[in-house]
Amino acid sequence: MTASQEQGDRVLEARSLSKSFGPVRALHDVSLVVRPGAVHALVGENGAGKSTLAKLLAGIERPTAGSMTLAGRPFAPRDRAAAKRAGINMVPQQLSLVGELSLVENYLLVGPRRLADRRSARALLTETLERAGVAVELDTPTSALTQAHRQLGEIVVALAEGAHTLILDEPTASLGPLEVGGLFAHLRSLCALGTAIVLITHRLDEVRQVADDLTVLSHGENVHHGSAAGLEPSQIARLMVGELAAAPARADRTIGEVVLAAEGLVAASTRDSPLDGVDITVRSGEIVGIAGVAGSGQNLLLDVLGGFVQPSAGTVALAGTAAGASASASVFQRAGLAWIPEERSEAVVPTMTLAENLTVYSTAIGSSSRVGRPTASKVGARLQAFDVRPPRPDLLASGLSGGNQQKLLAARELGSAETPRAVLAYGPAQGLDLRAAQAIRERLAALAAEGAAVVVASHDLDEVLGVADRVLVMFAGRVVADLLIAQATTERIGRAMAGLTGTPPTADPEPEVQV
Amino acid sequence: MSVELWVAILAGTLALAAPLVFAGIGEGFVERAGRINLGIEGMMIMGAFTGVWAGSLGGPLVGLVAGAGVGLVMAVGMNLVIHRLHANEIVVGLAVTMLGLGLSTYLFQLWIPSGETNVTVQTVPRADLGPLTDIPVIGPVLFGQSPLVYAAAVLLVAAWAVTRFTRFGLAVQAVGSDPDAAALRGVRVQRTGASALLIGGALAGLGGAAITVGTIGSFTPDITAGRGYIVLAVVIMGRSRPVGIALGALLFAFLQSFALLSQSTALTLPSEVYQSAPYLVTLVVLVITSRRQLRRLYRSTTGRAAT
Repeated sequence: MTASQEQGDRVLEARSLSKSFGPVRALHDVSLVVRPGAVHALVGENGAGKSTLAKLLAGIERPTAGSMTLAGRPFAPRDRAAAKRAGINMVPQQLSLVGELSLVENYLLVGPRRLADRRSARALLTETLERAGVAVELDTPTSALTQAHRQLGEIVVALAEGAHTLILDEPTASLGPLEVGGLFAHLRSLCALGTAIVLITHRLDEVRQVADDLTVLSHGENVHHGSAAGLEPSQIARLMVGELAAAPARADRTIGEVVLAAEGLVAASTRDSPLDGVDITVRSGEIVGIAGVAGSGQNLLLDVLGGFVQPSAGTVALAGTAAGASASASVFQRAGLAWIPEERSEAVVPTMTLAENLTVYSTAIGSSSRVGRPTASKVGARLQAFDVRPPRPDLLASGLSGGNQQKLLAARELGSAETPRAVLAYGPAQGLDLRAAQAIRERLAALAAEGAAVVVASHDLDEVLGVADRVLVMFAGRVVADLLIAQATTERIGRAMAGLTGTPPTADPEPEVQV
Repeated sequence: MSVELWVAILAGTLALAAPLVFAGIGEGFVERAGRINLGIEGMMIMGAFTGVWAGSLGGPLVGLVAGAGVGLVMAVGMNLVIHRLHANEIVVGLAVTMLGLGLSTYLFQLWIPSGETNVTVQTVPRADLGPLTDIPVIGPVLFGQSPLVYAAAVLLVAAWAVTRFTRFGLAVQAVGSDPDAAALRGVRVQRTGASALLIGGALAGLGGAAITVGTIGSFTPDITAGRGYIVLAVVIMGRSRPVGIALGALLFAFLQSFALLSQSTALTLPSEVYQSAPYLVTLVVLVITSRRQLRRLYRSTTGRAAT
């Protein structure tokens, strides 16, 4: 049997799939063909049905109507294990690697044998790594790997388990641009070996970069199915959401006095590059973006600025708090600091209702004891203002999708009646679709216009460039560039993100500008 | 103090540590799987009683097996109540302990009403290791022990091997450290936790039986005297690792052995000091190790969760 026949045997085809959860129709009459050796992009807004479709393909959910075939034969996996046996494996957005265990051990965790034969597992994984052209440490606990390596590791484990069709649920959501490039190169080489890849993504430029085929979902229905060639991101966006209002022009804001100032910060963390003498000042009315490859210290910087991690040297001062007082998170929050962390699980309490989530921290630190509980109608209005779906105050937060939890977090931190003095946000629009992401950007700009000092960090460069007045680029725990938005070309920032701080190729006498 | 006294203390240490090691290894699996069994004390005392009763009928080996069996049955019941009836693990554990303490006393009264002579059963016979026993100091300490001490040592190695070389061992670590990821990976989280609990129950029962059938030969109410709680402390001290559990068990057993012998020797301090030393030192070590573990936990979770 030749390779091409073998590949032809493995076409995964879905016909008229529908899926309802009770009265909610998540997917309606969707068909697609996943070809071996091709990347099939699956795009759509939050709640468009991408994840549902992926779960049907991976056997995690079963369709209410419609059918699938694999290699021409009916394919109706009972559960995820059955789909895995048939060679279809999904890499979930929240990766399924156990952090305490190494890749070898994660691979051994499920399987037919009772004894954990590390040697043969290691040999198999090494062989898979070589085949895929990837280098990932096999024997360290996966929690010690970078996000990009964990992602690759998960893919390698899936391949070693015999997957010929990989479904990747937003693999690029937590990767920096360089890492995304690396991942795509690996995906292309896997395709060359005959693997079929379904790539779920929010980022439309990635479709142009890597996809052969494209399926666009909107409100659970298939609005485009076919080749990805020749489609511009703007065209895809129109397919997804209809006409999208143009991004608002950057309004001129009055830059006021310094609100947040930090000098000579030195701090260490197990999760991020240690800070090595970072200075930052943020003024009222200003939005400062912090760019950098994931793990360059942005996360730790925000933790220190927010008072969650005490620096071993250096000072943080927030206007409105007593100078010299110990900078602690609760003091800062009482002084009006809004905070959106990278991991929303650190800030959203899944076992509490939406209403409770809106007040939990202000209640806990005692700043709103005199205000009392907001009324249900107020809570409902606030949830609606941030488009949290469904906007039911008594629903448990665990019942929301990831994107809607992010909106809930934004509603709490950015939606209170008083304008926060300062906002620290890491990837505030992560996991959000275009429309919702734009709403968050508008909200941040509005807060800045009301006088808040805003810091937005992200490893998604577009998220930073879309909103910031000034961009700091971090590399290995230091701020290596400080650019006004007008000077912040992608090329210049890209060089700084890679740690190349020499003379930029564009002839500009003064690359680093202080405001 | 004389050499003879030290030999007696050290030999006693190993003998007293064996039951703690049995129950501790079991609880180690339970805690690595991310659960906790507060019913250990109840399972140990039921194991201690059942061991003597069954031992009086069929000899020490039958007694030990019966002790392990009753612990296993209690763990099965506990698991059903927690998972089928969705009861709280902590409350159910404490209830099992109280049930075990009460039930063992009641059954003992039924078997031997007050006033009658307590039954003494044959204990596990010493292994005869011949000339090894005659080596000075080392001989009586290491080679004059009950086979249960050697069984505890074998169990330690076995537990380490299970953790390291079996899929079950990996699954236990996985569900304990990250149940969500483990479930996504395809590990049956609840079943793994239940298996760990059953192992923990059987070994707790065996540990209880080892106290009575292993050395004393008879049962009296409350004979375990809080050892189940000491086991919980030892497992926390040893971070659920076999070696750590063994060291913790030896520390407690050493102090207890010292206290027992202090009663027969003239020492400077009142004997109450030695009696309470095992518990005090356990408390202190527990505080130190927990602080270290808390600090590690704090370092790995920054952000709002830590405030």
